Amino acid sequence: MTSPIISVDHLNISLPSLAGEVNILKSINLSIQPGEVVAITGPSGCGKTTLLMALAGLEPPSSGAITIAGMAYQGQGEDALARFRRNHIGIVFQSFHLMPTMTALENVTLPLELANDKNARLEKAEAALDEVGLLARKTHYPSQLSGGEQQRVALARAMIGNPVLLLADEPTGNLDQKSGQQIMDLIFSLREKKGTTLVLVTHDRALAERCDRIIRLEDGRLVQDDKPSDTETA
Amino acid sequence: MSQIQDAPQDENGNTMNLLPFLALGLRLAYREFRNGFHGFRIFLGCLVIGVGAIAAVGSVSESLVAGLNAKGRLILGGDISLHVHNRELTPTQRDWLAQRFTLSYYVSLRGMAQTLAADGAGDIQSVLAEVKAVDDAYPLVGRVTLKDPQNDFQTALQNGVVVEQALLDRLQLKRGEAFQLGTSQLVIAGVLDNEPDRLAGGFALGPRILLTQSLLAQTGLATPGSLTEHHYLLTQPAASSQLDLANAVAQIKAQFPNAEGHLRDRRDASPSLRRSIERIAIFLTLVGLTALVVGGVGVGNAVSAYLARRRQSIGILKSLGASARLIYLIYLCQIGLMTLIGIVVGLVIGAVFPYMAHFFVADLLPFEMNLRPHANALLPAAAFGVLTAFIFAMRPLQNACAVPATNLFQPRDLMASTRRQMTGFSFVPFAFIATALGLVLVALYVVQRIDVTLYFILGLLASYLLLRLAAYLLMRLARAIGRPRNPILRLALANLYRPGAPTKTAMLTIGLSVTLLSIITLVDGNLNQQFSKSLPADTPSYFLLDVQTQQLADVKTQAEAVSGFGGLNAVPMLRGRVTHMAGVPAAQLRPPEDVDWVLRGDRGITYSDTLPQGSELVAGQWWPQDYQGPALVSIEDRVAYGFGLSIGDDIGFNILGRDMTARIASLRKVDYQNMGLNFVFVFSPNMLTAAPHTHAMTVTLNEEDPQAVLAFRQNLLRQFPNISIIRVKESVEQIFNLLADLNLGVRVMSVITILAGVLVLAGALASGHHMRLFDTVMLKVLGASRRQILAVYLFEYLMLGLGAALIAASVGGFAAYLIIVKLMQIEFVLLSSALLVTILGATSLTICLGLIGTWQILGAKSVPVLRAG
Repeated sequence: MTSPIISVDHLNISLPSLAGEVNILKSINLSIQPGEVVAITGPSGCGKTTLLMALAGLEPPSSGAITIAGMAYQGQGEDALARFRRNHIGIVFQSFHLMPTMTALENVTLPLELANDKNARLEKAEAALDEVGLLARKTHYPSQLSGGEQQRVALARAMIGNPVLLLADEPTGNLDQKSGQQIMDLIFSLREKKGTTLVLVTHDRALAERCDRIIRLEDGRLVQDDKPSDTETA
Repeated sequence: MSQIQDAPQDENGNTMNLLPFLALGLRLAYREFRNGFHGFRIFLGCLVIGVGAIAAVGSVSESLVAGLNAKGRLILGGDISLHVHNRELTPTQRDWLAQRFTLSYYVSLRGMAQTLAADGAGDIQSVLAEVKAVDDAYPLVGRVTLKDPQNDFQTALQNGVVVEQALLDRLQLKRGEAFQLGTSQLVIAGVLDNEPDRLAGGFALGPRILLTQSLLAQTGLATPGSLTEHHYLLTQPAASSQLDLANAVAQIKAQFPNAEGHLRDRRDASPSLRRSIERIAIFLTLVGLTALVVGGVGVGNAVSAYLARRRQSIGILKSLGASARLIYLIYLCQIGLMTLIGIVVGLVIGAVFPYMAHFFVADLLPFEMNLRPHANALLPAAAFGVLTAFIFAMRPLQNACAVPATNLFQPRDLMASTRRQMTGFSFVPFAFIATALGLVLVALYVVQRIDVTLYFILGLLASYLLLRLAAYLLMRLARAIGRPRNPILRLALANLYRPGAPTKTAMLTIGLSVTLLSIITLVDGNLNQQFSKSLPADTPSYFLLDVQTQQLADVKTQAEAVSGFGGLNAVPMLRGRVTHMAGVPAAQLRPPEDVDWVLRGDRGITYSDTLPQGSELVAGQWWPQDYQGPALVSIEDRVAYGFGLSIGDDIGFNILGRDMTARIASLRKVDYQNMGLNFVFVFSPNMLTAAPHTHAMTVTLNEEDPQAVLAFRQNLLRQFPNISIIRVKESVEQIFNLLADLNLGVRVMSVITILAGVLVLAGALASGHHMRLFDTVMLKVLGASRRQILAVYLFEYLMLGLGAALIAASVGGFAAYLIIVKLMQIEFVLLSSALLVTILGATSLTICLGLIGTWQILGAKSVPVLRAG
């Protein structure tokens, strides 16, 4: 058995709120193998997104350990984690989050620029846009694109650095059913082509069913970790 | 992996070089800016106002000084000017000069010009005039022109005298008519249009009379002991260089060792005027700097607001792996670009301002302004702009780098995690200190005085801290009051301390503006009172100068005969120059600026057996009556402290060409407010009684009987035409008018500060617009009428404006008290009505600005706001 790409050991995260400290994640243990496709499900406020943020190195654990692709997050500074993220992780957001002042091509090129990758940067970005079917719209700004198109650009941006891990936070949550379906097809085909591990947060049962594993969180605890056919959703 | 690198790393972990890192930062900054500069209006406005004001003041000052220097030869009347008080050079000395230079000599003095009394009766009109008796070679440089172009100056001098139009106006005379000067009747042969070296003479008390030296001799004004100045104007060959000039000056100094302070050259033809321009410019620059600091608060707010709108972009960049340093660089570049634009616009305004000023004042100036951009004015203004912008932008910039990328995920009520410390920003405190130090250094460079700069900075810092504290206390107070039953008052109070409340900014901007305005109002008002209402009852009616010893008794008799005679004081008056103090030659002394005038040229000195009126002995002892020992001197305590002198130290003087040394026997506190005859140096009589000298007198008459006061003057004019009579009331009015002119400049600058304050305040109130819009809509939904909503904001702005204005007026009042009492050493009067107007004005302005914004909000439709959430 190969070593896991994601290893989470007794992860606890507490965050301050106006009403006092809130325990978001409680003693989460998780191991994901390279190439796996994992859905995180659960009711609103159960800690799905916080777990995703923690996996991205954006939310530091209160206790416990996270190791991604051999990199232990513990003790790393923000810039070290930013560099790791740049080189190993792609993120797709529910609200797309494209830079509104940049064209589609510039948005996709951005991760390469940040990594100082000068090797055929433009060609790679154009190829990535072509893969999501938007090369013809490369000079368009986000405001000139539909929601589905924006999410495709965001996907191209997330995948351009060939990340080993793709994190998706309800990627179809702001899209109509048809556009959502197209986006998910694109995500699955791209990750399969590149062998990327995919962890996605979703409320969509049908989408979760397409994954290799479904993890269910409730009140900050991991309560279920099964193959799709075994999962019973509430 | 725990070590953080300054710059991004490539995929192999190699640190990106600085240049690509900077290029990346610039590129991303440019892309962000491509869609326009939204949100920078206040930022630009504040910088433009502050930098523009400082650049404008500096440019006008430099244009004036450069214009003055460019015409140095003309203004001085030659390449070099040597002047001697009360005596001519010896023939040998004069020959020495004549062999080396082209020489012109003239004598200047003051005298009473008066109309002729045909039959010895009737009113005599008189005016104190500046008399200048020239030789045939005058002027060596430039040309004296007369109002009648047909009339030639030299020809006019052969036929009589040339006078300024002001003399004709005062005496109601015409060309061709005669007037009395001293014992002689002079015919007006020409009216002066332009006297090339007029400025070199310094501050003129009266209109000019130009005449020949032989005519002056006939007037009897230039007698031994009378206050005359003898000027020797020298020119070199036309091709002579600055080096030749410096050599010539050095030669003269060697030949005339006592010439120090009496020698000027074309490089600095009118040092007193130059100093005056520079001092006014420094004062106005400090007021401008206050405007820039007030604007700096707006700069900080604008940067915070701009970066708050960029939270999403910052989050995206972070999620894609951008380091905090890269984010810092991106927004630093943007703010740098905006600063550059603001500064360039400000500098253009500053550089253009002298051209506009020239348009209005060209006719009033006796020389041409040097109209061109002056680097010496523009560079400090630019430096002030850059440093102020960055010192206020630094904190919001660092805060922006701490924005977590987690805000890109689903919205949460939880606060952003702050557990992970930001690293790589240890340079920020050093950068802050370096920027602050830079500001101090630029201020020092401009002001050129450590004490003034320090007081200004300390005052500004103290005001800033006090106002921050006041804002904190006001917010605490609003919270402590609790929740009054009246919902309007409750909401208004809550608005003062809720998150994002404009209280801190409003307190700072209103506060700094009102503090400055209060200081200016109170200092100005106190000075006005000093020179108008509060003249002491025993203020003399007349100063009499050049009273000869043999005339003393007669003048006294005349004065005592006037009904309402209130008193008379006569003191001997000589002129002398300090040559050394406590063994240190005058040229090597480096006194503080408030007493350095003591070394500048000749000073009036006197001698007395007894402690003079208006003086109080604070150290040492007064010499006994009929003291016959070595020369002693009593000096003013302020001057002694300034020069570090104490009892027993020796001071060297050159009096009427003779060197003498006197030992300090006592120190006196001098009360200048009594308008009496006050002298810094009072000698023991034994050494000076034999020297030729005249007397100065003060005569106090009952001012309630103006006829008697006037009649005394008429009698003196008839009997003693050599005596210069100065009406104290008129002199005070002259000074008062001069102060009023200066005040205009100060007021213009304070308006600019207020403008900056208004801009910042408007920005601060506008920044809460979104929150207020939501509140207003919710209140409307819950059934509040427009009137009720308006009342909430009215109360809020009232408390904000009134609170800030009251505190600032107190701070300003205290600062004004310190300036008036400690610095100017005059009595402080709290002008409560002026302060009240300032407080009410600031409060009204706050309410108006706030309500203008709220009025727009009241008209907003509810549905879009409720849908947007």
